[in-house]
Amino acid sequence: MRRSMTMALAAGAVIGAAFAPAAAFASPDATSFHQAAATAPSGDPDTTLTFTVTSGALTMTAPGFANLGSGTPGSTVGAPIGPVTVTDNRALASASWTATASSTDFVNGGSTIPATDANYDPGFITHTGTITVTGTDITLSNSPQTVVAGTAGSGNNSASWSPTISVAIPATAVGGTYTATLVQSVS
Amino acid sequence: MRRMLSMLLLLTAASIAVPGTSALASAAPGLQQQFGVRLFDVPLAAAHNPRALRYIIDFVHPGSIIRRRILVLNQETRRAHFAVYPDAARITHGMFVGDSGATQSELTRWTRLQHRTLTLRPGASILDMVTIRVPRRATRGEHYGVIWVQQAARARTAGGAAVKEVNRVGIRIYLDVGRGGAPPTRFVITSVAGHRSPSGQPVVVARVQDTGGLAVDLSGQVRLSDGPGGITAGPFREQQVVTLAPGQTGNLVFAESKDLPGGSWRASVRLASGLTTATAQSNIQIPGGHGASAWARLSPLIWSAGAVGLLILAMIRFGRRPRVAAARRRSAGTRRRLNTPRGSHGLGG
Repeated sequence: MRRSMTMALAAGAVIGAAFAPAAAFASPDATSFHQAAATAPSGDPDTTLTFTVTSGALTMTAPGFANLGSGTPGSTVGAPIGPVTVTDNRALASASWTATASSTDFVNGGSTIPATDANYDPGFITHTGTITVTGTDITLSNSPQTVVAGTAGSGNNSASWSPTISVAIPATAVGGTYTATLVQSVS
Repeated sequence: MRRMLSMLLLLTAASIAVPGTSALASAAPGLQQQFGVRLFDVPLAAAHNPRALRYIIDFVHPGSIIRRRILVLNQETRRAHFAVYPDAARITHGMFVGDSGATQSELTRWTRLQHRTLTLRPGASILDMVTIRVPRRATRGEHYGVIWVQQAARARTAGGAAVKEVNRVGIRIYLDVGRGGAPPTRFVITSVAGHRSPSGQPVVVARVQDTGGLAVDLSGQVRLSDGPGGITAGPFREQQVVTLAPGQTGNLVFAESKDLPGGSWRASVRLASGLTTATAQSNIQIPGGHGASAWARLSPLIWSAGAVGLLILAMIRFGRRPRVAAARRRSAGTRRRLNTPRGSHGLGG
């Protein structure tokens, strides 16, 4: 027999107060529910009492489709793919997040240009709030690598950059349109 | 027989409004096309652990079930489609990295989402339930993963080279499976050293080892004292959070001001992962650089200014020597030395 006890608190009244950086884990509601935990049935290791976090979310810019231009075999094409913004409204006392990028190979029918022939340069990074952001210029691959790291943050913060993707077209490449899927992730 | 007791305490029957939405819209009108996610439920036992407020962190016995709700938000001005799925993750080179696709792992096979695809109206948000059923034969140890909320761009026709973006926002999972009580969260600072980068940036590097049974997300600060001329500097924060799996070793790098003079310093490092902290003090050498040469040029001036100042002080305080001596006695003996890691047990880290 397994019991799962969930306390859900849709507390509209406290949502306003959750803007304060410390409120996320120091809110009076969390404290009062801690008391409730003490009176919960004991002896069942599978009973988990939970409380509801009332702060904001970690968000990211919606994806787009970017044309990098045309070039001859042996040349390099590249273009900014549009701004990326990470917004951390989780109101954390010690805020941090990591943004990674990976890419599939560039495909044109049966021909491919490997992802490792492409580069991701985050360029200049602007930020709001208290956060230290570090950008890393990477050679793309099928595996995610960190491109921008936010650290030493306090409270709500955001960072924006406009990455440039450049592709070195191999001298042996077959003419045509090459498309890759670029995965940008933040957690 | 499985019985599920759900107790819903609706203190106020408010709809799930998200504070970030309105703030974002009013503060930055150009940045509205965003989507995201946040953890909605946190175990009461972890209420004071800052890591538990952002990630799914738990220790469970084989055969257990965990349920957590997440809130998915569409802050875009158009209807948007999202995929929600668990993905494998690993801790490597001091980083927690979620895989690029829906890579399978033991943990992802245990994890189910109530809604795997979502379509949300502009400004709408919805709760999704994450259920992790840990089988009785689950591998012991810590399992890592991410719940991704993913949005993909629509493909368009292009000439030359083009990229179709897929953007994802995720909630990390650190799930430890075992018998008995939770393993300890513990880490030690094994060394502290000073360097100067090729660009002339002075840095302090703290080498850390995860000696406990759970992963740690390390951040912290360094304070410098007893520098050239007795000056102090800092605190300086870490350049990047370092995540270590049990047994792994990594470096936390603290970048100092470029004007910091080279020479010998006393570095006090304080690191934390959740509720677990460790401190260390060490004498370090920061090689000379532009800052040091500037200091060398300045130091005769400072020494003469200091000597004049001391002379004036001595003249003023000449008649009150006993009180100064007493103050000196009081301030002695307040310095601490050596590594003093304090590891707490349970899921404190």
